[in-house]
Amino acid sequence: MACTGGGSNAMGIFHPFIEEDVDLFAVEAGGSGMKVTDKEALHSATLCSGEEGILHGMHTKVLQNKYGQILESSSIAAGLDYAGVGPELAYLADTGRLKPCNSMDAEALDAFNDLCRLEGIIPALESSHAVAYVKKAASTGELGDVVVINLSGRGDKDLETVMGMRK
Amino acid sequence: MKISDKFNELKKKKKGALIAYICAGDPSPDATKEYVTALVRGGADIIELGLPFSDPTADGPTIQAGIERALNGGMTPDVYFRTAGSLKVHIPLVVMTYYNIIFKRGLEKFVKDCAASGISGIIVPDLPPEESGELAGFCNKNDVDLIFLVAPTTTDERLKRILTEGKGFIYLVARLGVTGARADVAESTRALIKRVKTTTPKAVGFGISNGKQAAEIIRSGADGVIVGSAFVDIIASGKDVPARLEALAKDLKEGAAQG
Ligand SMILES: Cc1ncc(COP(=O)(O)O)c(C=O)c1O
Repeated sequence: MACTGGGSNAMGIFHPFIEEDVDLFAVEAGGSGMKVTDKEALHSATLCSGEEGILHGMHTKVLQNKYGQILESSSIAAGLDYAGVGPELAYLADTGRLKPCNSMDAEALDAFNDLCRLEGIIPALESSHAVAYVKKAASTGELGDVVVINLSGRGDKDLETVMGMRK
Repeated sequence: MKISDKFNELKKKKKGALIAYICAGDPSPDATKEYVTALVRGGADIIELGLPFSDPTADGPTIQAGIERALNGGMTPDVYFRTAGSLKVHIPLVVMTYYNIIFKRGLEKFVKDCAASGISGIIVPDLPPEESGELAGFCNKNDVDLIFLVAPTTTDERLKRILTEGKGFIYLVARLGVTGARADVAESTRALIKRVKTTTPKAVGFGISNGKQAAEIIRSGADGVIVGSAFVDIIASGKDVPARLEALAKDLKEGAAQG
């Protein structure tokens, strides 16, 4: 279970498991909703809703409009806020090897609080998206007995954002 | 008009070419028609008409701002080809855009649209030659030139490939970094002009803004200069734009012609 923006932490943790009998979940940023306009997306869920394109030298999935203009993406987590995704992840999603999913801003914030309170760990807002998805998926039966969440970073850097949201 | 015909014509007169870039639709499609006419009056030999892309990685702040004005003014690939097709100019037109715009439209359709609207060359700064085979195939079939860029950092191996496959002219990137007007001519620019040995015309861009620089570049062995940001700056000011575009084109053309 890894949060996925551009996909470097995600591909890093997935890599040793690709040949194993292990489910892989790429948790993208659902932002404030899965809506898009001609110019922007309220989310950054490229694997979930992007289309084939070329961005920054990569042939991959991209958030774009019908003319190929790149959409302004959005997420509470700056590290997930990207309109493209690594091509290796796009390939694994296309072949069905990994499951793209997403958590919303508000769900990530809740998960951030939970992990702080229950474990004394301050997770990065990026990583909080993965924690949030585990919380959701725990009740749907899509998870096995053992779940690995990649806590890709510390949340000290995000305290200002989180405190700001609380006001 | 074919790009090679234009360069041959200038070669006979022993004159350097002025290639003028503006972004189509900046700030509106109608303004573009007026501005192109002004540039031609000033002496532009080739017009490079940008087709705006939201993430122009090769462009500096000046052209980025122009692209944004164009997108806000409603420029799309459909409007672009209509605008280009309605230009009544008798010099070559070249499109500069980024690969996702071409990819999304469909490579073949894009090239055919170019041919149908009088565009004789394509510049795609984010398409490396190694990945260009498919687009080059459609270009060759439709008699449209695929123009490649050479930077000071281009390896000898890649340069060799660009010189064999590049059509129209070779676009020499005068300096590292993005587009934007500068006052001087870098030593590395002269070195690059010397390093690139080919019978295909060589045009230098990135940072040229006045006639003195243009003359220096032509004197150093280039066949043309490409000027963008200096024109886009005038458009951004919104003041007396056609007359000032024409005056700057005249200054640059005089420089390129004496060089
Ligand atoms: C803490 C943290 N986690 C995850 C990411 C993004 O991960 P990936 O590159 O796998 O999308 C970032 C990116 O800045 C980050 O700061």
